[in-house]
Amino acid sequence: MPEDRDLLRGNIPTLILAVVSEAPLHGLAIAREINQRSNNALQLKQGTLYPALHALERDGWITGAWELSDSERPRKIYTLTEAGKLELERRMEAWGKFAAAMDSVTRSRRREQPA
Amino acid sequence: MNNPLKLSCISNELQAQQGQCDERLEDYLDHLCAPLIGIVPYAERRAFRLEAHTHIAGLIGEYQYQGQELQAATESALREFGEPWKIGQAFLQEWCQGTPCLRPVGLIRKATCVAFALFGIASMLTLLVLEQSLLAPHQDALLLLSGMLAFFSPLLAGCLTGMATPAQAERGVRNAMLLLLLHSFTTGLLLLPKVEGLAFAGWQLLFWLPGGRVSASLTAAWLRHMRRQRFWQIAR
Repeated sequence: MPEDRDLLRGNIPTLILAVVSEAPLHGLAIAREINQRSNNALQLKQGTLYPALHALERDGWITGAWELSDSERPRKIYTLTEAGKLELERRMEAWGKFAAAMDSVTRSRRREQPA
Repeated sequence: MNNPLKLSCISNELQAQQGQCDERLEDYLDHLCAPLIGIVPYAERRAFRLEAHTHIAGLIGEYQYQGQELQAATESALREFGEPWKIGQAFLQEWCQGTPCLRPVGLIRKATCVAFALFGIASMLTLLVLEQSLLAPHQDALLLLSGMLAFFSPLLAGCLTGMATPAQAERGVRNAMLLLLLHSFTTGLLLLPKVEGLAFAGWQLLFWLPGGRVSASLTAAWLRHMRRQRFWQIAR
């Protein structure tokens, strides 16, 4: 649904921060992790991660380092910074408040509806 | 026993398939990075391209592991990665936000020069024909021609600017028209008490500036749309 896509687009940076907070990952692994953790409910076009990754790196919330190996192509691995951890906490708190507010509004509406 | 001739045929076929898929992937990456050209420095563009290439190659590998043929796997991977032009534009937008001093100055300058040349020629021609028609008041054909030039030439100049510099066409037309308006109003004031010069400057302000910008922007949008269509036709 288009509204799902809009919701998802606005929250891609938070999803990336959350996923990278557990282990340093490259782009493809970040996309896979988001899909798996959401049981494929969050279907994002994987290329849309890169503008968000660039923005997060620019803001100093993650750092990217190229990993070179003989057998594979070079990969950029992203790691959460200390500032990124604080930002993630701030975002999680804001999201929690928002979700709780949405839930209480929609739940009261559901109660009002006749059975 | 395996027939060596048959094995060689299969190997050639696989190589040809690999070549086609590599070409397809390179074409995709060209489209992905196209919005960044002339704005984002080469080293950053190259890093973005390499990262996307690695990502897509990984996706192709996953699809092949699931049992898809190379070509089908390539198409599935590209579809999963998303529309290249949109991703490139989104990346550019993010990049520009972080570097306000490095906005697409080069492209704007180029668009302004192209628009200035085209609108300047249009303006000169219109003024020349208008002057001739005023000097010879009974030349209705000249008056009609000057009217047509005054109406259609900015639209044509806008279209040509949009075709020549689709990235910053509208901004280029605005810059060029502001310079031309300055010239037209100055000339109009110098020609007083004759008011034709000022009338022409007013017409430029009210019609040429918005009309030229709209035609440039529509042509540029149409060109970009055609480019995307062509790309996805090849993809399908």
